[in-house]
Amino acid sequence: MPRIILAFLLSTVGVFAADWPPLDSADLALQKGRVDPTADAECLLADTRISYDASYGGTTFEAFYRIKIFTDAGVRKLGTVDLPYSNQQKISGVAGRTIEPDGNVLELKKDAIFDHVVEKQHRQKTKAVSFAMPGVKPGAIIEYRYKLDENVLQTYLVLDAQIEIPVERVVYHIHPLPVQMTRALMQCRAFFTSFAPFTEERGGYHVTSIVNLPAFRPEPDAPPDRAIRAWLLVYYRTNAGEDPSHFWNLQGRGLYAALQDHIKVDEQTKQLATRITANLQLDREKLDAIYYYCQKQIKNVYGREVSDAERRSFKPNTTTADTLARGIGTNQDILLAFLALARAAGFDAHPAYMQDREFMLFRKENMLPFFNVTMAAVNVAGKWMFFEPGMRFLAPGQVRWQEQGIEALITDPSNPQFVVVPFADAKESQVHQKGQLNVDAEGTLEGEISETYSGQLAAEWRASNLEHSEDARKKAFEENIKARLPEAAISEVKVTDPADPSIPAVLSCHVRVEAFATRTGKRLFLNPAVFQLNRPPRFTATTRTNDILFHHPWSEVEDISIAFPAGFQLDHPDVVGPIDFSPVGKYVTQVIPVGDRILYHREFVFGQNGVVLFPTRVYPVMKKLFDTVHDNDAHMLTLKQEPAMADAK
Amino acid sequence: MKQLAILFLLFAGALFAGQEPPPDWAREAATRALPTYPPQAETATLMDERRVNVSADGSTTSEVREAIKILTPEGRGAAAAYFPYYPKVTRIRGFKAWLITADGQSKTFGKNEIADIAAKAGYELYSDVRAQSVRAENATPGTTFAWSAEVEDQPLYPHIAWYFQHRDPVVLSRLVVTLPSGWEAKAVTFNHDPIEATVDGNTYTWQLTDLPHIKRESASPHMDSLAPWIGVTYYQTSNASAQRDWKAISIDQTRRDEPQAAASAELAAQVKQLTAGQTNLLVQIRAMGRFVQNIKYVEIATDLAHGGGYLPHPAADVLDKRYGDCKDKANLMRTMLRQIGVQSYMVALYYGDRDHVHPEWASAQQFNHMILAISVPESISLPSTMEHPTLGKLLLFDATDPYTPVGLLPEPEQGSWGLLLAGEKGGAVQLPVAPPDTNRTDVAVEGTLSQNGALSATLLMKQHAAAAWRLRLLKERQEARFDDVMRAWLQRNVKELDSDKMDATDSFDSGEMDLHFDFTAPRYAQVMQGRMLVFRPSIVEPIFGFPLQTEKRKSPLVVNGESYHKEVHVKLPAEFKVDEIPEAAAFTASFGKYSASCQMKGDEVVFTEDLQVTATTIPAERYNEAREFYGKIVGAERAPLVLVKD
Repeated sequence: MPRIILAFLLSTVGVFAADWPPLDSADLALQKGRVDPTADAECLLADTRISYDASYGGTTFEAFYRIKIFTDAGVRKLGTVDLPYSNQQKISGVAGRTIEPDGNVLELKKDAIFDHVVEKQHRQKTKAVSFAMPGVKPGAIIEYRYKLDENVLQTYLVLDAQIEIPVERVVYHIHPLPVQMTRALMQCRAFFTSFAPFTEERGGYHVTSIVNLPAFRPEPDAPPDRAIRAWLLVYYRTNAGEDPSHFWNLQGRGLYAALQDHIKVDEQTKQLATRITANLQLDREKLDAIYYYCQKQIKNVYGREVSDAERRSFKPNTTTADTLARGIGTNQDILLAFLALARAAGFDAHPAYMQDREFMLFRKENMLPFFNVTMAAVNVAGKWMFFEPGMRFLAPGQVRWQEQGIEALITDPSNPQFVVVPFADAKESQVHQKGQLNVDAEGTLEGEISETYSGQLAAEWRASNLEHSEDARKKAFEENIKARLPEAAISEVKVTDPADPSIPAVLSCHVRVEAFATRTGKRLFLNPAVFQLNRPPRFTATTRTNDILFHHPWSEVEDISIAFPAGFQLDHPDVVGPIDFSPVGKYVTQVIPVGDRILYHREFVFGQNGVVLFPTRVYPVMKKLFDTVHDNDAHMLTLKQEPAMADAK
Repeated sequence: MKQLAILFLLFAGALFAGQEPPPDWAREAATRALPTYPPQAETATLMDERRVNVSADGSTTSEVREAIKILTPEGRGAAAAYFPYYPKVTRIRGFKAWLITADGQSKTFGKNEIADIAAKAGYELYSDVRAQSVRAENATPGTTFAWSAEVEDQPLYPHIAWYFQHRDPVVLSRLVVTLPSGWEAKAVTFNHDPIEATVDGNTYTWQLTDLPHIKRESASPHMDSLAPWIGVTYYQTSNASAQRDWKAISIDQTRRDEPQAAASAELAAQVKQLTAGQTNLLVQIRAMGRFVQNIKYVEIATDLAHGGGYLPHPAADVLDKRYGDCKDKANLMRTMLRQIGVQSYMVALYYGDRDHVHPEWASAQQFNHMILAISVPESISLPSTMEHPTLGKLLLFDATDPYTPVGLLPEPEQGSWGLLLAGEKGGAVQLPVAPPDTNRTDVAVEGTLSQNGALSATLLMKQHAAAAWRLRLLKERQEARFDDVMRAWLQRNVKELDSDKMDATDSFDSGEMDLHFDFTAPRYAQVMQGRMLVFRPSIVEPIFGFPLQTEKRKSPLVVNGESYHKEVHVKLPAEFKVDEIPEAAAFTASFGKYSASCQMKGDEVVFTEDLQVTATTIPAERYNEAREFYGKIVGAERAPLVLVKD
């Protein structure tokens, strides 16, 4: 897999010339941002010059920034610069100046630049150059530049264009690697922006620019940064114009071959597979047994279950035979052991690769093989199933949410193929919330409540609790309930073991909440949606910049039984109407009076058919939907005091 | 300002033993039987010891030992040592660390595993403090992490602050100080009954054992105001009178600071520009104050071993560079004020905990911040003015905090002790506390309710002083998301906001910040059976809520002084009449009072609410009083009004 190194910095023409680039007086007079008039500051120019020393194997970045400050908040936020660098890098030529609104220039003095060791351990040293720009005030322009040399030849350059403040112009000058060295031509691909065609300039540099980039602002429920933020990828390829199917065919065959020597289906492996699957008939049962064997019998060397001593004495496994014999390995070792055992049991099992959706949204046509996930693909009766036995929080056949709905490249010696890893159905990823409760005449609520997670919700709960003690897990659940019922006294908390995905994830406790129901002279008002109380609205922004991405389909079912006190009766319960937003989901509530009890049922389903990604333009509809559900969940019921009781009171 | 509390933890250049096994003290500590601790205790400190030998020239050699047992998976991160030092004056003669597992196996950390790191706080651009650091990657519960160091040092002051505990339980914590012949030491104890030293010849030992876990609770004092600690001062017995009291520190520091307040021509011109055409002193101070507050905060911490943490950069340089830290800003303001003939004094204090500084221990190690006390005429009376016995009326001003105007003090500074640096006239002073009515929030709601439950309303919230300070802080932190955060607050109170408009207006100089909402909520009142409307006439609850908890409180509750007034007018639909109306409420607590009423006036329902709370720290055993007080307020705010169709 090609190496990606982030080129984290931007810059301008002739930055290391004796003089600073000419400054337009209009920039100095600027009162508001041109890209965003409300911005506290704007980057007028971010200019980076990238060159290579092919013989030495190094890359040089010469960066220049020009930033206009508009407000006091801009002064507070900007003007200090920290440039970290490693053993393999060197920073030089740091210079800076502030141009005051009246044109007066304050130079960054050399003694105000601190080049210091941040951390030194053994032979590793991290250093940083830090400085604060002088005389920063609203109306001023700050400029600084530096040169970063590193002894790595970067053939894949990720160039960020969008930063935390608006940028008027980003310029990249790239001196391509010589063709005789790469046997390839420089390619550039823009993501979520467009760039001017490269033109050649003096010294063999190719230059391009991007203009008017708004500030990057993260939003909740958004796709990964790399799928919404403007950036460029510069790389070298001989096969410009190549057919993607040919490209991936070669990749899939090569990746299969690369692991083939590690997966040993020897006699011992066959015997072990036979022993694990003994007396099992169904393919799925056999795969589950092999999966649990790998998950539970092979220790993950980076897991918490491994002591420091075991980790220190761990020697890398050469083949799956080593892994199975030693009972310890890396995540990849466990995966390959699963593949070996599956093959030994007669399954058609292959390594599969993908780029998960948290890293970057994958596009085949880009022909960028930046895979960050390896999984096992097993063909069961003509249908591909995916397994990740190294992930201790996943059940067999379950993959992480980041991997659902994404195409995986199933490797093969002759016929690799892309297969979409399916989404689990919304009903398979469910939280079932239950309550067996009583409310007394003063409005105090008391009883047992529980939550049972399945599917992705269970996997997420297990993943976030795997490293924690039972007490910490109980505390987290308690805090979760407190967020719903802040005045609750909580006791008898129980939580299941997250390390065992073969059992359901169940959390329960006893609650007592004084003044849960509001008492008036002759009524009690209560909200039966106990688990929905005090939840903040999911979306609060009135406008939206980015697409909306939910992790996975899910469903919520709430079944609450509340006994009400003697002398009260349910006063004509109104139920808020159902919301049908098929095919994506639905929202339904029911109130059923049974004697002196109310049975409240709530069901919310979202993301059916794997619909979890929504374009920005539907945001108002999405917000309205979630707001309506939020408000419906606040619907109260009335218990009316029987006349005789009211009179007595 | 660099707090000099770190002075006692100094080193330079590390020496490491090879793979020598854990020493006996570490092994013994690791095998010690422990009591049952509460589940929140993630680690237990088995031993925390420092032995200091003081030489006649004031230099010290110290041995430091610490052993920590990991009790839960969450405690793994505590298996680490972090040891700050000043490279120029400190010499580390040994830094060793070990991991001892529950079954007695051990690991000795090698030289390659020790890191030397820049001990730079997030707000510092550069600091010359460094730290030796070592971390165990996977210390499972039951493991003991131990480390020791030998250090030679040149302390700036003959003081040691020894903290016997942080949050987790402690088996043994001990400070041992050996003095030269003819010297003696004394200690002041905080957050504990007086801890007497056992004295053996010239060796003093202060020790505590079996300290329980300190529970983490909201609105509790800072740890330094909960856990026991001592402030030790040592001195030559024959020269006991030379011990520095607050006045002596003031004289010394005032003398050191004075050369830094030299004005330049640029500074004089800047003052002239800021005060041009103004004769009113307060207006002039405000202009200079805002100018200095808006200078960028940058801390460059150099020469800390020699008191650089206390010494401001020259005022002219700070003006020239337009950046500086708190003492730089205070000193710049002081220098500027002199240009208009106004005297002012630097005041050292601790920002973040109003109970942190104890006047009974005269040590500069207690401070982390610097503000200014400005001499003003007796006629000026503001929430941040105080009367000094010899200097007269002083106006306290924080030149660093950009959210607090002249005339007010940031909430965390009010009531705390500080050191007024006024030469012979300086000393410990207690900063003023603004009366509750200063930190006022006024909420006014005017609305109309329709027969189908829709509410159209205008909400105006005027926040004053500390209430505005909190809102400004929130606005700066949330940046562009501030409007959304405020809308989310309104939406939590008002169902289904259909359309809303929000404006925030900051009148900084008057200390006021206003929020203005116009909104409609189609389902604000719940329609029941088509004949009843139910809604909460209080409409909104306070933005920052109340400190309520159901479990038994272990630590005191810190209550900030404030007042809150709300008046709601809602015009009701003509088709409905009132069936049930919330009862009036009026009650008091030792620290505050509350009243609420809900009445019909013509076709309007009028809800009024008044809350006044005095700044105080309520002991844990009296928490029920606070809980009951705030619980009743929540009940009054949530009480519904029931309307039925006529």
